[in-house]
Amino acid sequence: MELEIAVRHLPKATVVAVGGEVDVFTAPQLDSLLAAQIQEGHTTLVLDFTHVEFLDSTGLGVVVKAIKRCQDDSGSISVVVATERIRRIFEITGLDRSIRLAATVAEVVGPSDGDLDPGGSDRVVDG
Amino acid sequence: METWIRAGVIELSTAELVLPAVADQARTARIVAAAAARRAGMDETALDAVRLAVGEACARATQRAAPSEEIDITMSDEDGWFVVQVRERAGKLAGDARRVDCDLAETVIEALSQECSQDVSDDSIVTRMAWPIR
Repeated sequence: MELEIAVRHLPKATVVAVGGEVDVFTAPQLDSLLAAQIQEGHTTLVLDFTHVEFLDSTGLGVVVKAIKRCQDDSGSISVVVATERIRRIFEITGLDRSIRLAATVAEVVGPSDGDLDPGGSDRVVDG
Repeated sequence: METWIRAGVIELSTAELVLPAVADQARTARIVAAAAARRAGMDETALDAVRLAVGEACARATQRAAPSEEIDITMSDEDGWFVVQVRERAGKLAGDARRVDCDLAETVIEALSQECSQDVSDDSIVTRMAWPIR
């Protein structure tokens, strides 16, 4: 199984939309992509987990690592969570207290030209 | 790499799944565990907890073990409880090679299991998780 990842550079942030299951097998794909984006200077990131169907602690670890990298460059990461199932793992681990969680991308970056679909034209598939 | 999975039913109320300790098998484990929990009679609303907790235990096992090692998962109905045991048949690797920061995984497993425990011996680590069926 592979993740579907789409990246879009907006004026206020870079949105990384993820689709599929983020677990011990697929998390390295997301880790590599986020590391590359941060390396390129995109340190204000919105991780759009709207289409994430499963997220475990390995995936959370990737998010935490990316946050630390961004913060080193005075950047930030917000995470869009649309389902209770995914929000729950942030709450269980207490990470909802230290990571900005939003219900939509627009909530973070303001009104834009539509939400990003991981299957859209900026689709990047790793795996 | 050759991939193999063994599965069987020990008794009517117990199932066993043996997987290679590789990351892409964590998904197999959580899917099978959720199916077994459903078959045991657990509510759909509780299956997410089973899926995530078992997935975490197996993911942690794949991070600690070499790919040639096995993860042994038994799922059983014990007096109204759905019990899952994840056993890592650990080899004799150097200590540093096996130390993985698993704090988040442990937090998730403990939060999602009604009961959980871990038994560590020289050659194996057994994580036991249990949920009431009703």
